[in-house]
Amino acid sequence: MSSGALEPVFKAREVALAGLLAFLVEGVILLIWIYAGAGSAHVTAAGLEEPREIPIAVKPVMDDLPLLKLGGKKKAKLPDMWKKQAPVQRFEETSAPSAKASKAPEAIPSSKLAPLDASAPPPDAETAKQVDQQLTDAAPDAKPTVEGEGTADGVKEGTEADPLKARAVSAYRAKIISWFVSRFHAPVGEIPCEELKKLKASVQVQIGGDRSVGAFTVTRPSGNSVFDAKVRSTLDGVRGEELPPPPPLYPDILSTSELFTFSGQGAKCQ
Amino acid sequence: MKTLAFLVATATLSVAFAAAADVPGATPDESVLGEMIITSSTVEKLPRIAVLPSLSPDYEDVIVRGVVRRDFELTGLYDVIPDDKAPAGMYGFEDAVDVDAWRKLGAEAIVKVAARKVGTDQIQVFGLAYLMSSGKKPVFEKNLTVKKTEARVTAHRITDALLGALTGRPGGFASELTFSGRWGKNRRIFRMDADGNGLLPLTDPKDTAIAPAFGPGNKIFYLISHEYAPFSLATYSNQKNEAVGVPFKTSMYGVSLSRDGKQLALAVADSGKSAIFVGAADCSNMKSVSTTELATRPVFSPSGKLSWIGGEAKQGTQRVFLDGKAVSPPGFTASGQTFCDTEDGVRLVYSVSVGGGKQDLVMGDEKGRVIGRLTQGQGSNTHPACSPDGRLLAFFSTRGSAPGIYVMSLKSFRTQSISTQLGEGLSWAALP
Repeated sequence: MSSGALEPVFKAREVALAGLLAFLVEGVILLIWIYAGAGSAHVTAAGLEEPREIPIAVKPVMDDLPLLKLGGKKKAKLPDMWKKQAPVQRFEETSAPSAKASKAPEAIPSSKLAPLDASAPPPDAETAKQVDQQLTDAAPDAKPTVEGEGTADGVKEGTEADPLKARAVSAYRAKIISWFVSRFHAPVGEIPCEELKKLKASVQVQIGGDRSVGAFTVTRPSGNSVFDAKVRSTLDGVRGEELPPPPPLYPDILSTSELFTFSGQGAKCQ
Repeated sequence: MKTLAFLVATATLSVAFAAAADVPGATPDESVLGEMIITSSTVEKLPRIAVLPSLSPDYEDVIVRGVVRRDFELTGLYDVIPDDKAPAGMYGFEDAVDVDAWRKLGAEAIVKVAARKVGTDQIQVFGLAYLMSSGKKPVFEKNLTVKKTEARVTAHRITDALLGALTGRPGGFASELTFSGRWGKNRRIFRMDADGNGLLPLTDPKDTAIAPAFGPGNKIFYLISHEYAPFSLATYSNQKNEAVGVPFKTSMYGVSLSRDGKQLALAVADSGKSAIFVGAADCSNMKSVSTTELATRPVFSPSGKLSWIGGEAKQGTQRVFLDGKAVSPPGFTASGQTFCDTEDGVRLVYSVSVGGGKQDLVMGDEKGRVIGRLTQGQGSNTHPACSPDGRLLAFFSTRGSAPGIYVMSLKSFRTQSISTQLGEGLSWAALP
C-alpha cells in the first residue's frame, strides 16, 4: 500500500458545513447575551444589619503575675500538679519547760506536756493539736536497723556493700565457671548416667598472680574413683593456663585460692 | 630515576607476594581455621535492658539519648527494649523511674540519660543506671557539664561509664576509627566516630595515603606518596599534616606504635624485599627485627610483642609472625592482623584468603592458637580493628548488597553496619 493512494476522511463541503454550524451556534449565544443585557430585571444585594451599641461594666483588676520575659524559647517544665509532692510532716503541739517562758498565769500553755526525752521539732515545723500518723516518706530517711555499710534489701550473710561490684563479681564467677566447664568433660559412658549426675567433687585451686592455674587440692572427693580421676586430669591439663582477666574496675576480685565444685549433673548421657 | 626505582621495587614486591600466595598442591583444609563460633541460626538470649525514652524536644537531649541508645545496641551485649514497648508514664527530666513496670517487661537494668542547657553554650548531661535487684534508687550516676558542641562525644562517654557500672569494664565508644579509602582518584586517610558518625578525609586528594595507625594523643601516623614518589612517613594532628623524617630513602609499607607510644615500627622496602625496623618514637635507633624475606604491616600487641605479615620471596604463603614465629595456619595467606584486649584475654584477629578472591576473619589467642572463625560465606571480610574496650571488632565487608564497615560484638557475635565506606588499614583508638 502506498501513502499516495490515501483519500481525505472528510469532503470539502462537509468541512464547510461544520464551520457554518459552529458560526451559527456562537451567533445565537451572542444574541442571547445582548437580549439579557437589554432587560430591566436586576438582583439587589441584601443590606448588612446595623450594629447596636450595648453598654458593659468594666472593672479594672491588677495583674498579680510578673510579665513574661521577652525571648525566643520557652523553658519546658512540667506543671507542679504533675509532680509528686512530698507530704508535710506535722508535729503534735506540746509544751515543755523553758527559761524564757512568761511569768503571767494566762501564758501557761494548755497543750499536754512533752516527754522528758523528746527532741524539739524544727523551728519552722508545722504543728497540729493531734497527729495520728507518723509519715515515713516525709521525714528524713529512717535510721538503718543494721549497723555498717550495706543495702536495705541485702541479706545478713551478704559480704558486698556495693551492688555494682556484687554484680561484677557474679558475672566474673560465671565466666570462670564456664572457663572450667569448657575444659571438663564428665566421664560419660564410664559411669552409669544415674550415678554420674549425682556425683560432685570440691577442689581448692591455687591461682597465681598472673592468673595462672596452679596447684590444687581435692577437698571433698565424689567417692567415685573414675569421676575423681577425671577431675584431677582436667586440673592437671589446665595447670599453667591463664584464667580470663577480672573486670578492669574490680581487679582484686580474683583471689589467690578459689573453691570449685565439679558436678556430673550437666553430663549429656545417651 | 627515583620514581622508576620505586615502581620497580613495588612491582617486584607485589610479584613476590603474589607468587607467595599461589601455593602449589592440594586445596588447604579450612577446618584448621576453627569452627564458626556463632551461626546465623543460633538464637542467643541476651540480658534485656531499657534505655528510657524521652519526650523532651530539646536538641541536646535528643542527640544524647539517641547516641547512647545506638551505642547500647551496637555493643551486642544487651537486648535493648524498643521504645514502643515502654510503659505509659512520665518521662520528664525529673520524673521518677517506674522500676516495677520495666521489670514486668523483663528489663534487668534501666538506663536513663538526659541533657539540658545550663548556659548559652553549655549543656549538662546525666546518665543513671538502675538495677532491678537494687530497688528504685539508681546504683550509678554520672553527670557531665560540657560545651554544646561536645554533646555527641559526651554521650559516648556516658555510655562508656554506664557500661563500666553495669559490667565492671568501661565501654569504648568515646573513640575514633581511621582508615585508608579511595575517594576520587587516590586513596586518602579518613577518620570517623565509633558509631560511624563524622566521616572526614584528612589528607590531600592529590596524594595517595595508606596504612594509618594511631600514636600517642591520637596523632595519626600514615604513609604518603605524592605523584608516584616512594611512600614516606607523615602525621596528622590538630588539623595539620606534617612529614616525619626517617633514616630510609626507599618506600615504606606500614607503620605502628606501641601502646605506650615509646616504640615505632616501620615496614621498609629493600631491593625487592622488605623488612621491619623498630626504634624510638622519633625514628632514632631503628634496627631490623624481622626474620622473613618479606615483612609488612607491623603491629604491636597490648603487651608490647611485635607482629608482622611475613613470607618468603620465592615460595610460601604470607603468614602472621609474632615475636619471630609464624602463628597463623600454614597454607593460608594471612593479612591485616590486629590485637583485641578482650574480657577473655588478648586475642589475635586476622583475615585469611579462602578462595574465590574472598577473605574471612579468624581469631586466635596471643600465642596464635586458633580459637574460631568469625566470618564465613558472607562476602570478603578484611582489615579488622578492635575497639579500645576489646568488645567490638570493626572490619570491611562486601557482604550482601551493603558493603561497608561492620562492627561485630566479640561477646554475642552480632554484626551491624556502621558505614558504607570501603577501604583498608582500619585502626581504632580511644579519644584522649
